[in-house]
Amino acid sequence: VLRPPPVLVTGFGQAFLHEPDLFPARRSGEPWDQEELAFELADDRYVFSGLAASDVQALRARYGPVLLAGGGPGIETLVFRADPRDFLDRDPRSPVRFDLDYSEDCVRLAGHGIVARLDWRPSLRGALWTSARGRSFVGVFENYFRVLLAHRLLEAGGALVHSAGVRDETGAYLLFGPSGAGKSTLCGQVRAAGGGLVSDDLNAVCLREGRPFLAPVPFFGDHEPDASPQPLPLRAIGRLSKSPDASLVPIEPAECLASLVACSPFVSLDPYRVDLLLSNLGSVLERVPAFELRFSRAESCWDLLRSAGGS
Amino acid sequence: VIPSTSTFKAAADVRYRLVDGKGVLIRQRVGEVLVLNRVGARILDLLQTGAPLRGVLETMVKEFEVGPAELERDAVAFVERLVEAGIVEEVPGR
Repeated sequence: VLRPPPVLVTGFGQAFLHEPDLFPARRSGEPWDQEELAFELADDRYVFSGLAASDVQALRARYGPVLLAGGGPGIETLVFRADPRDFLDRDPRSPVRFDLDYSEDCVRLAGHGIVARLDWRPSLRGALWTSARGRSFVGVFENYFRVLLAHRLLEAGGALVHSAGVRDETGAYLLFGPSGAGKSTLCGQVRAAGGGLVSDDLNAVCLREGRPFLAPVPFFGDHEPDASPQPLPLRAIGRLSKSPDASLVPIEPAECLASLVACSPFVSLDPYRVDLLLSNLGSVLERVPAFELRFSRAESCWDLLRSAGGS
Repeated sequence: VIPSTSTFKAAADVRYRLVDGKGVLIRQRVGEVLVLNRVGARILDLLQTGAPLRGVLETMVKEFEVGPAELERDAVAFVERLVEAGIVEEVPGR
């Protein structure tokens, strides 16, 4: 049994908003200002407008060279002001979390200092209302962007996976598992052995002309990734488990698919789009060798992993 | 006791896919992903066609090397577990 993120246990938004019923019904409001920014990720361009200059400064400090000047076509998100009095006080000891509410044409998001929506008609686009400023804004932005990216990747035939992405000169390797499986430890091992790091937290799997690629996304945990802006051919997929000795063990496709679904945030609980998640991940698994990678802290498994991809 | 004429369908929050004979089953309401072995997957697959439990057993006994009594005991117990877990629901009035 594998567990995706926690399921909503109260009514949508009740843990965060004084008036959840007043959730914005459409993409309108007062922008913070007129600044724009864009990201190019996994063959898509994401454009954010309505930002304040201080938002842009904070986002540039967080994401650096990944950010591009805004404007132009892309998957658009409008950023609007929200009144801080609309939100319930947050217990600073409580973990950051948010509610998602799914429907056929829309996904709604509510959290501390944020409400947002994704709409699919006529095509995917988003809106984000927030009262957060400065560094808090970056946190809010990233929470929203992860949800947007997960849904867009799905639409494009891919998926966002909680995973470690590592690479060599031939391509990338996707290593996944539940919290505590050892993603961060493994990333440290790979780096020490001369391998490159795509991300130790979230990675985008996408298809280009039917071939799976691993695309860098600007989200990471303990290890800052190497600069690798281009998607890399996906060489192998490994489910992580800790073991006294390093080894590669065959994994049944159903086991691997189930584990990957459990590591696919946001969309695995979306009843309108989970079938697409199953299809996309199933397609990837038909094209890429998959294994269980048993690894130990004492022994680097980088060469073993590379052998899984034929290197 | 489940009548042999009963039919079942997956609950609304359940998504199910066969992969190389095994089943990947997602229970969105409780946030679980399960893997069913080949026998469990086949039972669920046949139930999904709308076949009554009796029809499921008749097909299974042809496909698996198992005696009818043993199959009925194990398959009915499995279906009861699926019902208890809210994975399938009995279709009323059939």
